[in-house]
Amino acid sequence: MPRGNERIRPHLPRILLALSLALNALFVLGSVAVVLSMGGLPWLHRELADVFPSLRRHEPPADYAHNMRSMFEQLPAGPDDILLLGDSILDYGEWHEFLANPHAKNRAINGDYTCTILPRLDQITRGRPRHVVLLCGINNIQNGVPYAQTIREYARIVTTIASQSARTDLWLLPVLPVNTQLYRKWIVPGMDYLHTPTREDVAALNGFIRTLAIDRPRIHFVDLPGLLDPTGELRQEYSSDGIHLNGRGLEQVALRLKQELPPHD
Amino acid sequence: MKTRLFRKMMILSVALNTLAAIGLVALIEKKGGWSWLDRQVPRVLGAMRGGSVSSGFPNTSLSVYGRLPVAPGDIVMLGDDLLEYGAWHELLGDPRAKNRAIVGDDTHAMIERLGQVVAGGPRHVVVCCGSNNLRRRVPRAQTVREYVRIVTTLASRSPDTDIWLLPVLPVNRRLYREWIAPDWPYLNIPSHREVEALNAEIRALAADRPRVHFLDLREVVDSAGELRQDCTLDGFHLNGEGFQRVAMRLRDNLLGNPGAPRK
Repeated sequence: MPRGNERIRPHLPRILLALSLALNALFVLGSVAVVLSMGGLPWLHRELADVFPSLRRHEPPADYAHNMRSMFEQLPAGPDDILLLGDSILDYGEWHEFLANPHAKNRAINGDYTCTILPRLDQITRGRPRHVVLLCGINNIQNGVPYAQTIREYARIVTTIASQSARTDLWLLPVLPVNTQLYRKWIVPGMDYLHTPTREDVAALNGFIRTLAIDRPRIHFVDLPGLLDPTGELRQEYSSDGIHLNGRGLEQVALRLKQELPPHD
Repeated sequence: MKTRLFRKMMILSVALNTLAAIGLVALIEKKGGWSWLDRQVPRVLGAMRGGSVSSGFPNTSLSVYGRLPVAPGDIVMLGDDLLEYGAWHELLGDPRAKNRAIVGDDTHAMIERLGQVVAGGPRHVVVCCGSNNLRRRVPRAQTVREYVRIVTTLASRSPDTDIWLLPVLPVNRRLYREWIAPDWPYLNIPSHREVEALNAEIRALAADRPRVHFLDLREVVDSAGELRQDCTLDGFHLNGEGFQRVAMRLRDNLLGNPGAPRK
């Protein structure tokens, strides 16, 4: 309405300034509120360090892997042990229950790669265990570690265990393919920086792993055909998220291990 | 208002707002743009009620426990983040010890899975829950109500079972802020007071119930009421030393002997 406009128009600049100042205040208060609610100055420091690497402090690591290693360090190790070594695929298992064997011990760590398993092998061999079951490699593939590096490190894991503990029987499990449909549904959305493992990726690595067992009396390859569907992917009934084995899947692995490993006394 | 001053203020204010807006967009882009913003939604939601049953994402631990029966004589470790990392049959030196803890569980999620635990009539159930309730800002009255339901359900469905309630452990604030808070920005950091208030309620649950016992864990708490620095790496989870102390306390009470040797 012309009359209304005429009333407002002279005040318009002041209204705009007030709005702009209010927005200024919003930015300032909003920033303070966010910083405080996120954890204050320590959080801010961490965020800035992401952007400006020179700000990074070098604290000793305190992630899941280090927590687990700290616990493993204080647990007794002995010659009757059956150690399950690897990444999250094995880490989810309650092995003394699945294998019905009190000597079965979980030494798998969610997130482990070949290069993070290598430095902790002395923890594995120090008790001269009866058996070590190894399943690792999928994190190398997901994170784009070059094939040549992966097989080099994998081979080194095998030779290191064999040389540090000659009496140990080493059981190599194949790296499992994912179930692409489930993987795309559950894993990709939250972690789009990962490379979706292909059947070819997995087959190539397994081809190499198999060769490590040839002509070595204490190194064995244990195949897991029952876990794959006709297209060569992980069966949906054995995985809820397309990459990890669920309860049924781990049960199947335990069954195979019970078939292959000599019975305990 | 003098026009010159007015104009200066206007220009400054608009300039600051423009800078702030550009900075905000640049920050979001640096973090990962739309896909980063997208990822924050479940994180914010996850900072609310959640846990093994309600969160939607497939829970592998839950499916594993679903395949493993509990038997008479067993020691069931029914807990959340604190207990889940533990290799309990090794720590307690007893193969009947079974891990039934799930990272992220709060009292609500735990109620939903009690059937699995109690069906076998175990000898002992060790309960540790409440930390995620505090982190997700669940009102204390609700937490206590749900905790009571856990205890009464266990007691009524398995009357010969001894139930051991562990306190919610305090965090070590300095380490927690360094290691945990940056990855979980929307969660509450439990304060000393909140933890003590909840623990007082938990302790009270054991008072009039013959087979329900409260086990305090003072060996891992320092004089300031925080999680001991030598018992944790990240201010929240127990490290090797922390687990050894808790295990010793459990062995003394449940197994009646200091039991399994340390390395």
